[in-house]
Amino acid sequence: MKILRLLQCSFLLLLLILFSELGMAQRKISGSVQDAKSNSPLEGATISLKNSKVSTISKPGGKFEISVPNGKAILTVSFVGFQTQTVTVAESQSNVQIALHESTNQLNDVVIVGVQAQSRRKTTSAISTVLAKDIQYLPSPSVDNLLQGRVAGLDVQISSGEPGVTPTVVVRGNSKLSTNISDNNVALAHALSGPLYVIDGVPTNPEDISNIFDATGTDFLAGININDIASVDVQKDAAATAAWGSRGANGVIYITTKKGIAKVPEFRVNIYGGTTQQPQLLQTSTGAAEREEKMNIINQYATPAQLASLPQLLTDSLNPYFNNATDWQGLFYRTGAIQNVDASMSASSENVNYRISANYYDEKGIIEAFGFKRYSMRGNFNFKISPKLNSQFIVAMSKSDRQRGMKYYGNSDANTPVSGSSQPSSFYRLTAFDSSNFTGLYSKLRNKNIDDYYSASLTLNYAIIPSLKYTFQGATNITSSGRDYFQPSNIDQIAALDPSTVQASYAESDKGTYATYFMSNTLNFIKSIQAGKHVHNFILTGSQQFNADVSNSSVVSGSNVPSNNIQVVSGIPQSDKDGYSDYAADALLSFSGQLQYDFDNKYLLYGSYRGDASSRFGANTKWGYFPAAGIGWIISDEGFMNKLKNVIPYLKIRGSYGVSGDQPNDFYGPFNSYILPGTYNSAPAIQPSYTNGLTKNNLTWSRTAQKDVGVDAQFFNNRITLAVDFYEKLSKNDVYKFDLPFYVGYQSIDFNAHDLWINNKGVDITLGTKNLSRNSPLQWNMQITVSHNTNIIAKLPNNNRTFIQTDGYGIDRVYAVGQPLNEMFQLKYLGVYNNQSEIPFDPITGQGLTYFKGNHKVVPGDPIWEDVNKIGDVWSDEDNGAAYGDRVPTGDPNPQFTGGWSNEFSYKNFSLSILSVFTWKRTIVNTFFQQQIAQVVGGYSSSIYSFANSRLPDLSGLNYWTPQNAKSDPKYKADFPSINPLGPSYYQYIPFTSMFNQDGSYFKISTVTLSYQLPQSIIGRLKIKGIRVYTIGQNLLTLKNSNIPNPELVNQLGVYTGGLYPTPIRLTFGADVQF
Amino acid sequence: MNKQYSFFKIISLLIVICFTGASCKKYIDQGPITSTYGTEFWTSQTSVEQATLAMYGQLRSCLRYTSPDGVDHGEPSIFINGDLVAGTFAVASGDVFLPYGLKASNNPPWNFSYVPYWAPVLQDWSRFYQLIAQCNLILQNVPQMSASLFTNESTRNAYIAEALFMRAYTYFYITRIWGDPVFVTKSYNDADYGNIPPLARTPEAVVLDSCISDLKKASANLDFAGGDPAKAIRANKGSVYALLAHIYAWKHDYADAHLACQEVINNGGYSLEPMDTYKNIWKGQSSEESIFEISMKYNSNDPNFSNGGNWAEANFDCFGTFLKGPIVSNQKSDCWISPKGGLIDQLMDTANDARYKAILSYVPASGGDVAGYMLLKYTNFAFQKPETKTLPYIDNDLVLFRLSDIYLLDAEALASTGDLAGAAADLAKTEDRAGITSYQNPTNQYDMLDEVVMERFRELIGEGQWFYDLIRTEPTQGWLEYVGYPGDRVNATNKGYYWPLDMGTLFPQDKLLTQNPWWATHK
Repeated sequence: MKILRLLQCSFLLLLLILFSELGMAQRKISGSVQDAKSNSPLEGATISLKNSKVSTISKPGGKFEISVPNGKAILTVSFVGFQTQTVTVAESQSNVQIALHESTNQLNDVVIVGVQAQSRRKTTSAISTVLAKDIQYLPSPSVDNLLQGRVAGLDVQISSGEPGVTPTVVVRGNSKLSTNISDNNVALAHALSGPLYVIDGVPTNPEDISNIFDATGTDFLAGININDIASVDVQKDAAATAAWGSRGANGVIYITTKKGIAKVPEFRVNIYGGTTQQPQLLQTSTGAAEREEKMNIINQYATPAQLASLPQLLTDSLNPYFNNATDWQGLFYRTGAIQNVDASMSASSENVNYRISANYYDEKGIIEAFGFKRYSMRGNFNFKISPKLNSQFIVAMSKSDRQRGMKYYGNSDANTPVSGSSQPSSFYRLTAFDSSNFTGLYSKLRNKNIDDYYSASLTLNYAIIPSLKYTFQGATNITSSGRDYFQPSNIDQIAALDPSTVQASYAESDKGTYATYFMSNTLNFIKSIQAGKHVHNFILTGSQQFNADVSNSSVVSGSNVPSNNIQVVSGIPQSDKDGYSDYAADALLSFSGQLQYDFDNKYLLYGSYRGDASSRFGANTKWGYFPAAGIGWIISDEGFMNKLKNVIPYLKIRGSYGVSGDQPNDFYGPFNSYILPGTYNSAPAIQPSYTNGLTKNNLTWSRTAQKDVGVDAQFFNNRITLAVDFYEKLSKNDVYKFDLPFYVGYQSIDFNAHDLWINNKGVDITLGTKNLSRNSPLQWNMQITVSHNTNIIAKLPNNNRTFIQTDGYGIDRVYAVGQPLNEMFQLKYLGVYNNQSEIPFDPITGQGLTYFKGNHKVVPGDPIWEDVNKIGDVWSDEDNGAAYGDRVPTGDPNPQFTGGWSNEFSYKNFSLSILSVFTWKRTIVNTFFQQQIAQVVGGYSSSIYSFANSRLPDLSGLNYWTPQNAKSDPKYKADFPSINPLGPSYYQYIPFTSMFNQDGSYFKISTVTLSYQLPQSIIGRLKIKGIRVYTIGQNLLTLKNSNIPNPELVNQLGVYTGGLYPTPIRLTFGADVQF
Repeated sequence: MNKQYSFFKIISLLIVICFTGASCKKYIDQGPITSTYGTEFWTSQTSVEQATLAMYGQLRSCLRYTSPDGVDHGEPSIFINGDLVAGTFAVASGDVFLPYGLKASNNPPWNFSYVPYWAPVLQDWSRFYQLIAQCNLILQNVPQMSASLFTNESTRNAYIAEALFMRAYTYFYITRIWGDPVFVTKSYNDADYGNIPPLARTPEAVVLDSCISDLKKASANLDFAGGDPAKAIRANKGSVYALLAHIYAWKHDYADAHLACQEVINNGGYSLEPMDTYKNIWKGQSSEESIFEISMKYNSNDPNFSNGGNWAEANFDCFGTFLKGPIVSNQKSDCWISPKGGLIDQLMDTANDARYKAILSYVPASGGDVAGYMLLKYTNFAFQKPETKTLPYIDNDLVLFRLSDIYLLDAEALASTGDLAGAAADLAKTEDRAGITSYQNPTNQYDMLDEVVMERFRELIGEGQWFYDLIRTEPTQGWLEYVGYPGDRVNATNKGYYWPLDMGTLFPQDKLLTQNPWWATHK
C-alpha cells in the first residue's frame, strides 16, 4: 500500500531529525498543588510545561516534580473541576506552590478548531460542548442519539426506535436539495445535510461510507462505545468549520475519547441492564365489535338495494372462516431488554499514561427478530519519549451485530410482515398457514448484519523550539461490513394449498470494506510579545493533510434456492443468480493556515485559509479555497467593567465570516460513466448513463458562506451563563440533478448549480443557571437550549423555475424561491360541506362545484377543497398538463424551533437529572391514518370489498359526516367528510390534499437519571474507591398536538407512516464501580 | 539554542511536507475502474460495436416503451400509434384510461389530447431524443478515432452508416407521429447545463430532406443482406432503401419512392415468404422476406429478463396486447380485438383470403372485450419457468420493413404516377400469395390507390403501419374520415392526425416549442 509506505517514510525521516535533538540541558522543578479554598492537597492534577508536551501528574499530597529546559519555565496546571492556572517559574526558582481555584465554567478549556488548539475564552468561534458526565450511563447504541436537545443549533430527530439506526443530525438547518425524494429507502437517508465527524483528530464522513457501501445500514457511530467518549464539540460557525474547509459546510462534530489521568491505576466497571417496553398497540375493534362497527357505518349510508348485496365476509357471521377476532398487531411485538458492561483500566505516570476499555452492549428489540449487539475495545496510550517529544497512540476495535427482522436496506417501514396501515380484518382466521408463514418466515429468515470497525491513530508531537511545535498524525479507519440475508420460500407451507401464490426464496451475501487513511503534518507557533504595557499573543498553525478512502465490496444474490434449509447463495439456477464487485477510491489533499492573535487578551482576531484538492472533481477545478475570519472583544476585561465584575464576570462579543465547502457523494462525478443497459440479440451493449452521462471537467466544490454574531456571557458570580448566536448561512453551487431539455437526449446530469442558493437564518441560545445558592446542600442546575431556524430557497436554476417533486408517499413538494425546502404542495382542505346550501355554484350557469375535472359533482358530506383558480372545479390537474391546478403550499416539514431543557439536582450523594427535548412548528403528514381510511373508502382501489376485508381505522371520537345527522340537524357540523364505503371514489383520501397534515410539535421527557454515590463509610470497608448506582428511564412521556402516537417518528420529510419502528420506553438499572 | 540548527530542521520538515504533498498529487487524479467513460471508451472497434448495439436496443425500448409512472398500462405504444387509432382494433377494457379518448364513437372522436396517464407514452417524444443522442454520439466519435483501430475503413464507414440510418429512422418516426421535430445533430457535452438555449421545431420537409441526404451517404457504405435473415436485425442497404422509399412516399415524391422500392426489390435479394410458412415472418430472423426487424427474441442470458423493463430482450406486454385466453395460458383475459363487423369484415374476403386463417382467430365477447378477431402474428408464447407458470414472454420479433410492404409501397407509387398495370402487378405479389384477386378490379387511379390501402390493411395489420398509410393517402383517398376522423381536423392545414405534445412537461424545457396546430385550439 503506497500510502502506508509514505507514512513510514515520513515517520523515519522525522525520527532521524528528532533523535539528534535528545539530551539538551535540563533542570528539575518540584512543588505541590492544593485547593485554594480548603488548602487540601490535590492528587492527580496535571502539570505541564507550556508549549511542549512535557507533563506530569501530582502525587498523593499534591507533590510533583517536572523536568524543564534551563531558563524561565511556564507551567500550566489543570485539574478536573478546577480552573487551569499558568505559573511562571523563574530561572533561579526550583520549588513552587500552586493553589487552584474551583472552576465554575469551562472557559479555560481547550477547544480544537481545525488543527489549532484555542482556549474557549479567547476563541471567536461558536462551539458547544457535551461532556462525558452528561451521557455516560445512557443506554443507546450510538452517541448521536444522545446529543438531542443538548446543543443549540443541532437538530437531532430520532426517526426510528430500531436499535442501531442513524438519526438525522442537522447543524443549523438543512442546506441540501435532494432531487430524488421519491425513493423511500435510498434517497431519504440523504435528504438532509449531515455534519462531518472528527474523531480524535481524524475526519470521517459517515455519509460517504453509507453512500459507497452500506451493507448493514448500521449507524457508523454505533462502533464507538459511549463511555469511551470524553467530550463532543459541535462546531457551528464558519470560524470553526472553515478550517475543515472542504467538508465543513454542514457543521463539524468533534469527538474526543478518554485518556488515562489517574496517577494510581484505576479500574472501573460499569454495568447496567433493563427492559425496553412494547409500545401501546393501536386501538382497533375486533370480531363482533368490528362487524358491528362496519355494519353501523354501512347502515348510515347504504340504500336498501346496496344492503341486499353486501360481501359475504360481512354478512356470513356464522362462517368459521369469517367470524374470528384476530388482532394482527399482537403477533410481532414483545418486551425487549438491554444489557451493558463497560470495563476500563487507566493510569498515568510521568512517561506513560494509558486507558484501556472494553464494552459489551446488547439490546433486544421490541419487534421479533430485531436487536443490536456490540463488542468493543479501545486503548489510548500517551508516551513521553523525551522532554521534547511525545506521542499518542489510539487503537479501537468493535464488532456490531444487528438483527433486522426481514428488513432490507435502509430505514424502511417493513418492520413487520403486515404493515401498519394494511392489516387485514380481524374476521379472518389466523390459519396454520398464516402462522407458519409469519413465524416461519421469521424462524427461517436469516438476516445477519455484522460491522467490524478498526481504527488506529498515531500522533507525534515534537517541540522544535519551545514556541514551535511540529505534529505528525497518521491514522487508519477500516469499516468492514457484511450482510447475509435469506428469505425462505413459502412453498413448503402452501404449495399444496395454492400454488399460484408461491413466493420464491431469496439469498444474498454482501461484503465490503471501507478504509480511510489520514495523514497530517502540522507546525504550530506560539508567541507572546510584550510591548510596554501591552501584550500581543500569536498562535500560528500551518498544516498539510492527506486523506484517502478506498472501498471494496462484493455482492452475490439469487432467488429460488433449492431448499429452505440452504440459507446461502448456493445451488441457484444460473438465470436467477446475480453478482458483482465494486471498487471506489478518492483522495483529498489539503493545506491550511490558521492565525489567532489577541491584543492584551481582550481584542481577538482570527483568520484561516484552507485549500483542498479533491479527486472527486473535474480536471480543471479540483482546488477549492476556503477563507474565514473572526473578531472578538472580551468586554468584561475592560477597565470600565471592573465595577460590574461581580455582576458580569465575563462578557465576550464575537463575529465571524467564512466560507466552507462540501463535495458530492459520487467519487467519480466528473466522469461520464457508461453503463451496460442490457443486450441486443444476446450481445452486450454499452451506452452513456443517460441520467448522468456527459463529461463535467468543471465539476467543483459547493460553497457555504456563513455569518455569525455571538455573545458569550456569565452573570452573577457565574450563576448564569448565556450564549447567543445569530447566523446566516448561504449555501451555493451544490451538486444538483439538472433535468435537461428533451432535445439534449440525456434526461439529467449531476452538476454544480450555480443558481441554487439555500439560505438558513437563525438563532441559537444556550442558557445555563445555577438556581440555588452555592452553599445550599441541594443544588439545581438548569440548561435550556433553543434553536430557531428559517430555511428558504433563495435562488433556483433555470431562471428560478419552480418545480414539483412527489415523495415516496404521494405527497407533492414544491421548490420555489422564498419557500422552505421540501414544502408540501397540496389541495387545501377546509372542512366538510355539511349540507347542500354550503356548496358553491356558478351564479350564471347554476353549475355546482365539481372535483376531479368535472368527474365528481360535489355533494353534502364531501371535503371542502379550496378552489384557488376559481373555475368551479378543484383538482391537481396533474393529468391535464397544467402544472399546478388548485394546489398551494401547505406545510413546512423543517422544524422552526428545536431545543432541550435539562435539570440536574444533587443532594448529598443523590443526583437526579431530567432532560426534555422539544420540536415546535413543523408540519407532518399522517399517511398512516390516510392509508387506513383510503384502504376502506376513497382510495385508489377501495370498494365495499376492501372495506370488508381490511381492518377499520380507529374512528372513535371522529365526527364523520352521515346523511342521517345532516337530515336531523340543520346546524350539523361534521369534523370529517363522509366515509361511505359504497360511495364514489374520487381519490378523496389520497394525500394530495392537506386533510392529513398535522402539527408535528412535541415535547418529550427523553431521559431521567437518578443516581446515588455510595458513601465512603460503606465503600471504604469494601476497599473500593467508589460505587455509583443509577436508574434511567428514556422516552418516558411525549406531549403533542397531533393524534399520532409519536410525532418524532416521522421520516426526514415529515411523513408519518405508522410502520416505522416505534421508539421504546427504556428502563435500566446500573452500577459504576471504581477500584 | 542553536538558531541555525533549528532553521535546518524547519527546512527538513518543509521538505518532508512538500514531498508528501507532491506524491499525494497523483491520488487526486484517479478515474473509476468499475465503469468505462467517454475518454476511455472510444478507443476500440469493440466499443463502437457495443455502442451500435445500444442504439438498436434503444430503438426497441422506444417502440415498446414502459411509461415511468409505475402503473402497468400494457404499453404497446407502437401499435397504438400505427394500428389502434386507425380503428383496426378496439381497446380492451383493461387498458387503463385509454378508452376515455381513443374511440371513433366518442365525442369528440379519437381525442388524442385526453389520454390520462398515457401522456408520457403518447404525447412525449423525449425517449426518441435519447436514441438520437446515441446516434449523434457515434457520429461524433467514430470519425475522430484512429483508422488503425478498425479492421478497415469500410468497417468504420459501415458503423457511421448504421448510425445515419438510425437517426433518419428516428426523425422519420417522430415526424409521422408528431409532425415537425426539434432537430438536433450534435452532442451536448460540457455545456452550461442550467442554461441550454431553447430550440424551435424544424419544418418536417427540412428534416426529411436532411434524412434523405444522410441515407444516400449511408447506402454507399452498406451492403444488401437479402437472403440472410440473421442480418435483418441491423441496418443494411436494403433497410436504407426501404426507409428512403417510405420517406419519399411520405413527401408524395412517388417517382423517387418507386426508384427506391425498385432497388430493394431488384437488388436486395429478398423473397416473399410462402403462405404455408407465413408466420415465419414474425418468428425472428427466420424469413427472407424481412428487411429490417428489431430483435425481441428470448435470450436465456438476458440480465434484464426477470426484472423486465425497457431493455429486456423479450417481454410479454408488447405483443401480449393482442392475445388472451388459453393461447397465453390464461395470463390475460382481455386484449385488443378487431371488432366483428369492423374493418376486417369490411376490407377482407374472409372466405378466401388465406391470411384470415393464418393470422386471425374469431373469439366471442369475453372479459370486457367485444366479439371479434384476435391477431395471431405474434404467438410464440412461453414461460421461463413453466413449472411454476411464472415469467411469461412472447418470443417474436417486431418487423419494421419487409418485402410485401415495399411491393405495396411501389404499387402506391406507380398508381399515383399513373402506371395502373405496374401497380396491379405489385399488388398481385401479395394478393396471389393470399389467394385473392381483387387487384384485378380497379379501373382507375382512385380505385387502384384504394385497393393499395386496403391490401396494406390486410397484409400489414398489427405491424404499426396502417394509420400512417391513411395519413399519407388522405389528400386523395380520405380514409381517415372513413375510420371516423372529422374532415376539418385532418385536412392539410390542421393536420389533426398528428398527436399533440405534452406541453405541460415539454414546454418548460423548451420555451420555443409550439403545439401542433389542431391541438393548439382543441383540448
